[in-house]
Amino acid sequence: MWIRRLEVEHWRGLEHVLLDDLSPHLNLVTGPNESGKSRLVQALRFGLFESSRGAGRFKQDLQTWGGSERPRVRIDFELAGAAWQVEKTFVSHQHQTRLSTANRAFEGEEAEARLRELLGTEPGSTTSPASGAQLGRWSLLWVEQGRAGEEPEVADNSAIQGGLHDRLVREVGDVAAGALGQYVRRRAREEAERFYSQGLGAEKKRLKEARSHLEACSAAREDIERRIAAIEDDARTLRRTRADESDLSERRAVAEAERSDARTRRDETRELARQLEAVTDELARAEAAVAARRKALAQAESLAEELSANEQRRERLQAELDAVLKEEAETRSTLTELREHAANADMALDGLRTERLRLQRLVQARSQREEQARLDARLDQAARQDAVLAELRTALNELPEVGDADVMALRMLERERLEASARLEGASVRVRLQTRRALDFDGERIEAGVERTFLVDRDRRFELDGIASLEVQPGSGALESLRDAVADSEVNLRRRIEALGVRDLEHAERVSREREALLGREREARQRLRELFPDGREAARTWRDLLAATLAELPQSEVPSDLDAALANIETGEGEQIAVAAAARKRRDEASARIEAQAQQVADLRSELKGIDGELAQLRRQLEGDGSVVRLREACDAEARRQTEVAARRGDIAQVFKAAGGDTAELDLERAERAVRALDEQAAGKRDLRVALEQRMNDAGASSLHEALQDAASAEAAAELDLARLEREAGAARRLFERVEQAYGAAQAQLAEPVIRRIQPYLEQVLPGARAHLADDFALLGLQQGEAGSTERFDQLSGGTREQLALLVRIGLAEVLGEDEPWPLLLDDALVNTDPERIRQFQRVLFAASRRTQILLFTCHGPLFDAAGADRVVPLVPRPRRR
Amino acid sequence: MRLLHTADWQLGLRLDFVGGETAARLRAQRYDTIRTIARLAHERAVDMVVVAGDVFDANRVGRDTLQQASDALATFGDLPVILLAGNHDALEEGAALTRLPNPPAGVFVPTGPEIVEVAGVELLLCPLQERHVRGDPAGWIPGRGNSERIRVAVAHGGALNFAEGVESVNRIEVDALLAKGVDYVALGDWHGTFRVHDRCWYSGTHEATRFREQAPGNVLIVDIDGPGALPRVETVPVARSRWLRESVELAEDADAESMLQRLEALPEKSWTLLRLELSGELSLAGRERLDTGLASLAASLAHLRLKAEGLSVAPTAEDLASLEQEGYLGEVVRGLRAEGDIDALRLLYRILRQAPTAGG
Repeated sequence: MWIRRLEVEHWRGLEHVLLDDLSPHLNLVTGPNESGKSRLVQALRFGLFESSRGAGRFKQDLQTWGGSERPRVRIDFELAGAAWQVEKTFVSHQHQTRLSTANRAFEGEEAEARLRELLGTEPGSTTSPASGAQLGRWSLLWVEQGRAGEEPEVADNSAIQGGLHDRLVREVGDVAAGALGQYVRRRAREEAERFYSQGLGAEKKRLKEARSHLEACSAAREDIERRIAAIEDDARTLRRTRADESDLSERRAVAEAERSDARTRRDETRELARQLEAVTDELARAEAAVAARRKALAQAESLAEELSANEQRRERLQAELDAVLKEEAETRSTLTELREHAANADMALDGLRTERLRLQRLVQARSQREEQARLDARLDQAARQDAVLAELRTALNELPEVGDADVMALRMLERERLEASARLEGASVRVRLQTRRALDFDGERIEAGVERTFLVDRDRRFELDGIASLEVQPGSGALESLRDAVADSEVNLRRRIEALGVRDLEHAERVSREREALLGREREARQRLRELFPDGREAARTWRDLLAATLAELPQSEVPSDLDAALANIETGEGEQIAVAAAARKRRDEASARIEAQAQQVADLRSELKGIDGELAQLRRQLEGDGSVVRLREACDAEARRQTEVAARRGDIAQVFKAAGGDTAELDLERAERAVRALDEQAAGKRDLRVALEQRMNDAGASSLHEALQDAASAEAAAELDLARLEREAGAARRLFERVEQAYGAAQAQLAEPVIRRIQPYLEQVLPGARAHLADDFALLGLQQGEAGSTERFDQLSGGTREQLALLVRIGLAEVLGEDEPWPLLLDDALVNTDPERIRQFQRVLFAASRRTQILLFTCHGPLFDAAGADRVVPLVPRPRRR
Repeated sequence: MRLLHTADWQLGLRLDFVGGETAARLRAQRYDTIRTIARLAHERAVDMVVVAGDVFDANRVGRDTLQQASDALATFGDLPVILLAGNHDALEEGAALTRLPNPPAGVFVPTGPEIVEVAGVELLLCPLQERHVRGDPAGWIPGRGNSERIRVAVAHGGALNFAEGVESVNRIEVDALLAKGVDYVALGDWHGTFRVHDRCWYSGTHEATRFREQAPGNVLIVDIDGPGALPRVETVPVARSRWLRESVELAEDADAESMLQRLEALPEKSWTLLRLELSGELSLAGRERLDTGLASLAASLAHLRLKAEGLSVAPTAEDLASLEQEGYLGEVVRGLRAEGDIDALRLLYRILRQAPTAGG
């Protein structure tokens, strides 16, 4: 089939549009937005697929807003070699359809039915446009604006599925199953899904429950077994406890007998212990008596020894005292001599010191006199400088007082005067007179051959030897002021010179120089004076007077010839004498100290002797009071003999005590009593345990644990069997399902292969190296990049690739469906997400496909399809809607 | 002198592996068969009844079990009934035998090895004090000496070395025992009726407890004319339940058919428990028919325990023809066959048979 012509009237603002001479191959309808492309596509859809009867909302919308004319569409097409024309007018309660061919025409309902039959569509709804299955193959072939990227709806469309299947089976043979195959597939799935969730993922409740039921049964059985084991354990414990109780009873009887025996022995040893204690006390007393006697004896012996020692000591002290007294006497004699020596040495030293002082004063007087002479010389020098100063002052006073400033002022005034004169001279007339003969000129005789020049600075008449008078009138009034200036400057200069008392400038300069020289000399003289007396001349005079007074006071003794040598000699002698005197004093003081020490020693020794004498007297008294050492020793021996006798007696008793068990008898009894007590406690513990166990056994006796265990074991075995059976059934169902799906999938893949084969050349043009994957129901699964590349799912592809791939699949499927009768492919702005480069590549695909199938391509990007090789291009102009 | 020898009543056994109502019936029957034994004892005018151990299945049985036991024992009336403790109900602490509520007057439970005289017979009683006794529980029995009475030993344990190589417990040296001048040894523990010696028998359990037991369900009537006389032993069936074991090899589908027919003809199926072990090879169709037949049989029997692991399925040409399918299904069948996945193949076979149009 191919559409030859489309005419639209009153269609949503399109008053009249005609697309005629359409090609059975590639047709390009271009135009900007609002040029009516979508409305023409809609008109085609309505004309072919919608009934003209009915005024549903979606049909009313076709009317031009505000217009009263009904929308009308006429389509001429060719199908199976016959030319057909369908004409429909919409928004009517009656069928306004006419279908005609060469020699036949159908009207109304019949026309609609005939048309549906021709196109393979089903009656649509009255409330919404036909879609999906109602459109049959056309839902695959006609791509609405903005839906090109969607997967072609093939799976649920029986018309397409049937058509594809029929054609492909014819092509590849009977690879797939018919109704039986579908039935088995459904049943295999049902069987598997009895046990597993869809897709054979998780196990279903049935299997899970069987598994958890088995686990619960096992747990229950184990619990009962544990309880039985616990009871049996209790029973064993009870038996052991009873045996233990019996054993304990016997052991207690033995322990009781041992305790009784221990008690008897304890009583016997207690009596012996009492006796032993008494004799021990006696022995202690005897020992104490011996000790006391021995102590007294020892004390007496000690006193005797002490007395003897003190007597010896006293003798030693006496001898020592005598020796010290003798030394003291010798020391006193030595001290007298030493004192004398010391006094002599001091005296000699005093003499030397007096002489030294005298010589020192002589030396002082000598130097003062020298100082006085120097001062006198300086004062004379100063007097001479005073005379020089007086002369200079007189000379200065005789000169006029002209300073540098005065000279400068005079020079200034002179310069002013010279400048005024020069200015006057410049303004005056110079009259040069050259005489050839002697003549009187202006009263003056001038010889011949003389040349004179006259400067005339005011009107002047020269009398020329009576011959003539010559009047010279230089300048005008200016000369007058210049003359005044000269006169003023001269007056100023003169007045100043006079004020200074000089004759002229030169004089003034000379006077100034002389004054300056005098003043310089005066400064020098004063400087010399200051150097002579830095502290002032008056201080020098005072100092001189003081020196003179001091000298007057100094004794006018004889001065040795060599004063300095004499002083040095006397100083040396004095130094030596100081050492001699100090040594003498030291020896004297040492002797003195020695005498003091010896006196102290004598006193100490005497005191000690006195103390020893006292002690000796006391010891002698004590010894006489205690009786003799011999008597004491006899008493001591007697006590010792008695002690030995008591100790022997005690030894006998102790032996008997020990033989009777001694101290261990008490311990034995305590041990025996403890043993009985311990056995009693153990017996009580066992009794309690037995009572508790008996109670527990009694309580347990009522429960049917054995039967419960059998129940649980049976339930577990049943659950085990049940689970095994279910698992076996589930395994079989699963394996069958998987195999069925695998085989079915393989068969379908074989079926899909011709479609892929058709698409592949186109795909190579647009996406080189890629391969499309179709599901068993021709649903688009994804795209594989390269031979071994991974497959990307369709919904994960980019918008552009999705759009291109979906279109290619449509073309491929359309070719399969159109094997006998090609059906037109309508694409309304189908490549909106594709970049211009891809669109250019896609044009080859469209061109190639259009050699077999009519393609109606509506696009607002006309220039992009310039190279598409369209057989017919229909440019549309904008036609704004009127609503 | 005549005595009734029985043993291994195993009261308290639940038999839940049988399942449901059948188990309840079988449990109740264990008590009812005691009543049957009591009637037999009265009818045959025995002097005493000896129960040679394992009266109870365990010492931990509940009060209900004890009460039902007492009720059943009451039917013996004044007849002396010796209840010997076996390994299942050894005289441990809290032993079931010591907890019997209001036991009838004739019932006697020996609490240790002892010799008692009943009806002029010297009874040598060897109850087990513990579950496992190392050494001969009857080893203590003295020689005849001057006794001129009939001597009957009652013991529980293994007279035969049933478990070769394993250290046996409760092992009774029968020869030694007989050498001591015992006229009859009444044994318990082995659940099938078994003659160890002319003077030594296992009576077996009165109602079977599992399939593997051989000749259960009897009691023995023992007549001894006097000391040294050889006992006359009569085996009397008392059980209600029938425990059958069948092991059948099915070489072809027809074998299965005939087996099913035979089993369908079994008497008193509601009291029959069957353990059926199948081996051999069937076609898919044969297996399908067998499964259907067995399902029907299981509904009529008290219990059917089927072991069919040894039964394989080999699809025949006919099966394969019915499985032969066009398209991908053919691929499925070939794949499953190649893998020997008979379970999956059987499922497919069933699915195909249930298909609305093809295959049947």
